[in-house]
Amino acid sequence: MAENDLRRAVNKFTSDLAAKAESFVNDITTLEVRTFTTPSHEFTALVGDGVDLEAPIDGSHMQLRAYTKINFDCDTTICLPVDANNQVDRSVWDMHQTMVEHALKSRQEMLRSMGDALASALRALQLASE
Amino acid sequence: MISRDVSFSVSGIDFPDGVDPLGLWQVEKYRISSFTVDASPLMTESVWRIQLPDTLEEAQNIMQSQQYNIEQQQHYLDIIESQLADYNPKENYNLSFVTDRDSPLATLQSSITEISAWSTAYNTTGANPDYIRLYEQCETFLGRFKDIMSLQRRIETRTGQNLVGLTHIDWKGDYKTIWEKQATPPAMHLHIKSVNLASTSRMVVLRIISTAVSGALSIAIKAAIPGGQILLIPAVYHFVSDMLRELKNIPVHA
Repeated sequence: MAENDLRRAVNKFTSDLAAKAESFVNDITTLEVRTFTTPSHEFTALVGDGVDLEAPIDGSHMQLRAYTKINFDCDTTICLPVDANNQVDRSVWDMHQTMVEHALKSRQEMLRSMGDALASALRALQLASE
Repeated sequence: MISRDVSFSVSGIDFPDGVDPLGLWQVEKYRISSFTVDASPLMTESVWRIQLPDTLEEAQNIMQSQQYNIEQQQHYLDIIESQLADYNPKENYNLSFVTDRDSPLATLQSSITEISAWSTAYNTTGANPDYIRLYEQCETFLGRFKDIMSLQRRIETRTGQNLVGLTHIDWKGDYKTIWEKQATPPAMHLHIKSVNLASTSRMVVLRIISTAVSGALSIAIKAAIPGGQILLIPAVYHFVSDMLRELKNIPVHA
């Protein structure tokens, strides 16, 4: 009975991770990076555990300044930030680009971690079944 | 030495043992903001908070030091992984560390010996309370691994009293960053370093857990322990985190 419990634990871990991996593969067809600015007096309303950044805040002056979307086939949509003179705001753009690079690198690492975790779980499951 | 107005804290992550194995982050209780309508305590994200001094040079030096620290730990993890792969519990094998190797290794060997003894009395293990407790520990452990992988995360950077930047990363890896409107480029660079530090920390913790899982598998095969690939995970995790702590404390000789 104990051996079945172990097999069940590994099975559950593997199938949960596989479901997450499947959902992840479906969801990672696009990568989106957004950069906003907001006045300092509104910033404190955005911090704290559990605050939903997707929910609109009444009277907010938060502005979307730059946006990048990269599709699976590498088609890319970019919205550039401009200042009051309609010139590209370099400081915001440079930071945004850095975040895009960071997001791409993080996604690669996530895929690798997930692959390693699944491989370990499958080996453990195989051993539990022998 | 880090001064009083500096802190690195994380909430919303349930580390094994309740402690950050990297020794970088102070673990805090997940607290609900007074601005939320729904005060559900359900943790859906981890929150990484970096508090830095308002002096730019001091803040930059601290971030550089933390980054170096975590790079060193990744290097130590390479060493520990390699040694675990070579470790044979049936031989009295001395790991080639320049460190006090007795304590973590002795503890690991003791756990292996204990669990091996359970497997020879298989018919009674179902009633063994230690076995049941360990099995529950293992299930919890694997659950935490899944949570750390799947939680959304938020990184907040402050210098002095000022919040400089806030980045939210969802499960898919999409980024949303909010800057204080008057934030200067050097301050923004500090927040980017914070995002890098928090993301790297998370990846290294996942790697530690993955090393524990692979290590348990390897030892279970070598020691021929039925179920050892699961039952040994907590013991190997403790070995890895104890070795990391020891290796960090070794003085570097010129």
